[in-house]
Amino acid sequence: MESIKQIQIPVDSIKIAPEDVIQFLGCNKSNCPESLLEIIQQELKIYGDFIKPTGGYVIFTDHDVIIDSDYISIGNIIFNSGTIITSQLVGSEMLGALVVSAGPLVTERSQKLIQAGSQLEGYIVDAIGSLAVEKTADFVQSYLEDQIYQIGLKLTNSLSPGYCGWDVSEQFKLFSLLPDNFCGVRINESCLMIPIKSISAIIGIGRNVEKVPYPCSSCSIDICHKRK
Amino acid sequence: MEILEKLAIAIERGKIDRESPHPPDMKNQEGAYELTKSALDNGIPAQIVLSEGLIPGMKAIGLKFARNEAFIPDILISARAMNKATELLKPYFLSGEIETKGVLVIGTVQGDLHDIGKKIVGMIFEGGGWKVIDLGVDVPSSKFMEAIQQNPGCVVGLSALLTTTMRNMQTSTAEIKSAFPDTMVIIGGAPVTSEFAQIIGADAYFADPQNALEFLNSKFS
Repeated sequence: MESIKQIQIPVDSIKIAPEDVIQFLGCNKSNCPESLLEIIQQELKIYGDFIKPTGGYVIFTDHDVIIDSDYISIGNIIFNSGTIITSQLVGSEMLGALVVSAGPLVTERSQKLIQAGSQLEGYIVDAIGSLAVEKTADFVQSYLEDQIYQIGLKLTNSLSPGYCGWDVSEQFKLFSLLPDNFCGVRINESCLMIPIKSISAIIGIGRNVEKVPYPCSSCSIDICHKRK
Repeated sequence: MEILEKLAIAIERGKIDRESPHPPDMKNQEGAYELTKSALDNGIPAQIVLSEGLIPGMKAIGLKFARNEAFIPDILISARAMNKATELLKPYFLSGEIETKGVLVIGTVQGDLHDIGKKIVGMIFEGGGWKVIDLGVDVPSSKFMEAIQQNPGCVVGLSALLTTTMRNMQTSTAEIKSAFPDTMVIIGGAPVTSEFAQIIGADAYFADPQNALEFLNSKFS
């Protein structure tokens, strides 16, 4: 298994159905205006023009990795991730640092449409971008899962700074573990990933790990959008 | 039904003009454009067309959004109808016949590039009769200060979507209040709370734009 991998992701591997976008926008099929559906379908027809998925991972083996009760460390980088995050990683023999992106063009298109007065179209393109990056993350995770399955290992959930009480500023530490501009993603001084539609995460790998439901009931952050 | 009432419904339902197919049950009916034109042609003052026809329509959809009965696409669809109708009111704004309720200067704070939520706030406020100056994203305090100097009496709205950039709200609020103590500062964004607003000395936090509009309308009427 390669310890650093950038994956070629064909855009048609990232499948987004109109129903996905409708649901993401908070509507359902019965209350979705026809005009909205038309715009969604129009943009999805050409989404290959502005969705350019990239992704990859770096694997850190057990002699680099410590998972303690409220922190994890990879080499000399200590993540103050908190107990919710570490509880999800229990049993991990290795850790992976993942980065994925839907590319910069989706945000450019969204902003261009909004500036031209087509706010609805711009908002829909932005939604497509959010869905695309999530599906790209799923793709990269599945790819990694296939690789490790061959050697009898499993994955935990992927866990990102900014969620479950893990301060988003720890993205700096995560990115310090990655090659510069890995998969075309960098981080600005405010911890914002560029391109905006990007995700970074830590994932646990081991023989005795499980994907467990996110423990929202034990988390104090009421306003987290993952709850919704 | 009285024309202004019909106009408010056209805005709320997102009926742009007669040709637009949305909503299906209003097909071939007059839309916001025709009703606004008709109201003006019939001698209804432009200010009244705005305040009793257009604004109530945007208020209705804004309140539905605040109650989770409508979603962002619904607001954007209504905003389309509003934008089409206000094309006819542009001359009245330029002549000063229509007065705006106030000026709202909005921006996403330094280091943050999120834009869409702020744009929706801007739309709701424009639909509510305010002049909106959108400074964009990654806005340093100096730019907010410049805008305040150019627009005395304005309200400043700060947006942030990350806990890291939220901290820049504190810097901007402190600098604004130091130079312009009477300027009202309101804040919003996913990680922001009313407690945070209090800590940093902002005047208010709002989770949704309609409540922000109602609050500022009450302060500036």
